[in-house]
Amino acid sequence: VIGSTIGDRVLHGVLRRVSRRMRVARALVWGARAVLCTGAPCVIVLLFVRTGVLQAPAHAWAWTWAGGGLVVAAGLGLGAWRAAPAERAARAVDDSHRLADRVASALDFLARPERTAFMDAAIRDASAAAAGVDARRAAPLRLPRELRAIGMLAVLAALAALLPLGAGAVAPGPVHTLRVKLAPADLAVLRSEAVALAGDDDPEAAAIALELRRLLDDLARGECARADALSRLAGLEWRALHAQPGDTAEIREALRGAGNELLRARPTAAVGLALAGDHFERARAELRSLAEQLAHTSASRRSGAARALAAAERRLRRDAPPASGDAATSQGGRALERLRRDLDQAASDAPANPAGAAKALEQAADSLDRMAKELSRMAQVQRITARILEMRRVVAGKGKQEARQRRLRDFMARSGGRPDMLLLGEGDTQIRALGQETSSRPAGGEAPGDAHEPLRLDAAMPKSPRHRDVGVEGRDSPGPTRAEVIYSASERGFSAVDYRRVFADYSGVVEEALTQENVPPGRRGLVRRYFDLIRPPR
Amino acid sequence: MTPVPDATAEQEAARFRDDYARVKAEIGRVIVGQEEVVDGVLTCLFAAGHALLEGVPGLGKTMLVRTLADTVDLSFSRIQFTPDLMPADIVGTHMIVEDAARGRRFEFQRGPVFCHVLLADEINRATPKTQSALLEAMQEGSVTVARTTHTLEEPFFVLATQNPLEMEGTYPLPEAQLDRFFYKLRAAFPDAKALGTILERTTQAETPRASAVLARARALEMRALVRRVPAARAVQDWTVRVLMATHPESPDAPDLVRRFVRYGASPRGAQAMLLGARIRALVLGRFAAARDDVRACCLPALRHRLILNFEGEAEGIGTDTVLLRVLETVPEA
Repeated sequence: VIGSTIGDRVLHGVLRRVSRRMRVARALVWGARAVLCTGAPCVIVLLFVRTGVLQAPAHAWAWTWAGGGLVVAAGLGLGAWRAAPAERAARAVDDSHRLADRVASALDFLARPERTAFMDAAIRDASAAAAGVDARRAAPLRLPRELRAIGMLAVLAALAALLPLGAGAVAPGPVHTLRVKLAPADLAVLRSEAVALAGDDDPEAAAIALELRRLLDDLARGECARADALSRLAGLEWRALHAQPGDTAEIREALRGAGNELLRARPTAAVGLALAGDHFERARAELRSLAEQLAHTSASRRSGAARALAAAERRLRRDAPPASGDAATSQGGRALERLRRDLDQAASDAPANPAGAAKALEQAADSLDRMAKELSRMAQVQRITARILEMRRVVAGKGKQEARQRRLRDFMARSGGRPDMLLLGEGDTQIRALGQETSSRPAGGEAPGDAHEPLRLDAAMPKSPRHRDVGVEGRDSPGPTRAEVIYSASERGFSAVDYRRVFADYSGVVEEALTQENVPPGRRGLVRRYFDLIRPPR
Repeated sequence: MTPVPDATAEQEAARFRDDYARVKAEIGRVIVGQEEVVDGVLTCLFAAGHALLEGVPGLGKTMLVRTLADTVDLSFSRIQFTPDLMPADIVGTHMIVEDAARGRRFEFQRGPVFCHVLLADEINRATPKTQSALLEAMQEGSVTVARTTHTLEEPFFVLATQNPLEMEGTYPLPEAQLDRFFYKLRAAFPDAKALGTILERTTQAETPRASAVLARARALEMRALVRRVPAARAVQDWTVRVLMATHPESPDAPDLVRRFVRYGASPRGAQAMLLGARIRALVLGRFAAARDDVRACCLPALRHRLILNFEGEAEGIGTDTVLLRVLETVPEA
């Protein structure tokens, strides 16, 4: 019995060691299985993302690592959770050391309440054999069989991540860094404006114009990304808005009103005429002339001039921009206020103090001069602002075109279409839908006027009763150069009609047609943009 | 405190092992090779079973049985089974005996079955009626003649032989009688080296002769000792699973069994496997039967207890093939 007890201890000691190692081995296997269970769906999702079937959510990698780590940890924990049964450990010892069921049988006999002499002998025999048992041999910590599958999975994941798959070439990432390439015509117009503005007297306006020119140069060289261009344009717009806090129209309107008031008196009529016609230089000269003549003028004429000047002052006070507005705090507003005070002074001094009135009129001439310069500067800044806004619209529109092209490329790539069927225009994007060929046959429809591009248009336009098909053979070229345009114009002769009038007539007709005719919505914007581009400068 | 082991079991086992080895070595002086058959015959002897020995003529089957009887110091009888052999020729018969003192009377004359080791040579040549005369003797250890039961002296060990080639004019043993045999052993043809040794030993002037190295009483003790060897529950369970897997209707039966076996082994097969495993464990110096022992005993214990169906017979599927498949498929845990 004592021998059995000691044998019991020896056996159980061996079995505990083996059982521990079996538990570790099982944890490794479960961990490997957890890696497989986690990795396989991840690789599938990666394949879907790479082929463009799915979009990767934000922080996808972090979530994947966290979730995968959790599953693997759970697998390891579950594997190590339960102890390996002693019977299994005994079988492992017997099998590994060729003990012919000695340990397993002894374990069975130990559990029996009554034992025979042979059972005790078997236990002693097993204990003696167990003394030489190597737990590492009984329960070797082998690498899990799943490692091969994990390796294959890793290779698959690496291939999926590195190889250019399907929609990988049209992945959204690179598109955002595409360089903006504006049409040469757009660039030429904008650049000539910027060059003209850069020579402005106002340093701020000149600086903004210079910066705008640099941006245009970058765009022309294709060295500026869309996001960068938009950011730089936003900065320029901000600077321009700060350089021109108000609108010149209000000031000009106030001055025209004052000029109309001055027209009512003979001595001040010349000044009023100049002011009403926005001829500030002439108005300044007329004011100085009035100041010189005032001392030699009769009292009645001085009184008339004083009434006209007082009326002009009142008109300026009434029409001047409000004190709380930006225009009032701008230099233009301040100059207008000075002019108003000078006119007020001149009106009060004119009847009795011709010398004081003459001096006040001299000062009014100076104020008008400063204000004229300020108005000119403000007009320049307004033009710059308008150019910047125009550029922002063009660049943003370019981005929308690119996005539209990208979507179409994605669609064609996924549907196995032919990317060579996609044509990108310079100014506008000309999209040829799937199945449309480059022959003379029009896009969509059996004949010209039957239908239109199905991707961007709504209902087809009905044919007019007077419809007549005209075949026009197009030529793919960037269009005539400026020199060609000038040369051809000199051949035909220049128009005698003012361009502003022609533009106003045509743009009015176009606006009317856009609202009344069944013009596809996708084309309305293009028409308006064209007329914006050819709009004559103010 | 130093443990004092109970040495009785170890000593008994060691003595068994020694005696077994001595008998085997003594047999080996006469019988060359055929170790598997010798082990099987000795296993049958100590398991109180009977052996059916199958092999072509001239492989030393009769010599083996005779040598065994000489070695264990047991009485030996040999019956050459022929078609005209009658049951009375085996068990004995009443004969009229006349003497001066008691006059004329019937007296039972014992047949050759009354011995310790009986060699039933070419048992399949006798008629079923004669073959069945052995049934009671083999199973009960007794013979009933004219309503009188005669007990056979222990140990009673029948070793029957049959020739697998000359099947014409034979009477294949019925399943009931086959089941009485503990093992069915197959004597293989000796290899060249063993054949050379046989020639050396049998062509000289003096033929080697085994001497008695084991007393009858000791043989009976060894039989009793075998029954005391334990087997773990898992070993017993696996033995049962193996046996059950030989039945085509069993869920554990492999496809080979389902296709080619008509009837599986009887419970006697499991008894034979486990008893044989116990003896093997003792012989190999262990104190409990193991799965390996059961596996080693499976073929001789079950090969004659499987009944193949017509398809199996037609395909020439051997029962050994089926049993090996069963051993492969039955899980050990």
